[in-house]
Amino acid sequence: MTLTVDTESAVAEVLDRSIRNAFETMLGETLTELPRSSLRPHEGNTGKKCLTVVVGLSGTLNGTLGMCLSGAAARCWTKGLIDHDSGEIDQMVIDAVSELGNIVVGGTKSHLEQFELSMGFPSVVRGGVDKLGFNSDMTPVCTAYQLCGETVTTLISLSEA
Amino acid sequence: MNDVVEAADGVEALAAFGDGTGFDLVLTDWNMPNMNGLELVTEIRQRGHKHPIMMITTESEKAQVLRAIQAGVNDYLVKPFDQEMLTLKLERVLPKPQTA
Repeated sequence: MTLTVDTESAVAEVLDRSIRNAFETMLGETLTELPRSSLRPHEGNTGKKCLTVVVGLSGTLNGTLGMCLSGAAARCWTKGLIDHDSGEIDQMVIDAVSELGNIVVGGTKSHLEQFELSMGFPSVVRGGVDKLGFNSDMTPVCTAYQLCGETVTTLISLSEA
Repeated sequence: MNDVVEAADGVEALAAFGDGTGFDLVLTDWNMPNMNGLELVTEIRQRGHKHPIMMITTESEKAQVLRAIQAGVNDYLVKPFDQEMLTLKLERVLPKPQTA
């Protein structure tokens, strides 16, 4: 069942706080939100040099939360987190982006206790949101932010059990 | 901290910890494959080790924190965290050097 407007707003608000908290606390960086949109083909971060981290959720809500980072944003996060920048998307960057997923989705889950959510381990896709497919009743909602002059996009693809 | 031994999961951590000789502190996440942090803490305490254990995790619900404390963690740090908070917690949980 598709999320109600109230539930979608509640999740979006908590996810927004969580991602802002992650970047502000660990990098001292403030995210700037760009105009919100529903996912349509080719919107959001696309292209080869992107990383998308997805984390499954289950409980009263089921589906996926995720974040897509441009390659440069991913390296910026990795540099801030573990002081590593080899100039390319290497395993350390993948690990760091995976941990970003863990931190942001974990923080989101903690503030949605009413939905009794369990979360899975993060998975990182070498690509943008256009590389992901979603069930027909779970149209993702994306929010784009600017970080270090690059783009970070969150996505919510959930349905009510 | 001069020497840090890393482990990818609780099973590796337990193997590396061995009988605890040479370790001053265990720093663990909660959500890990194979053996999670809570299971790791429980196992270390069941083996009779008294080493300080700090859990660093995204789990911040009261019930989860209580579970960790009951399992035997000495302190708990919720992600995200900054360097200052980590340093404060480490100073609190590590044994003070003995003076003559």
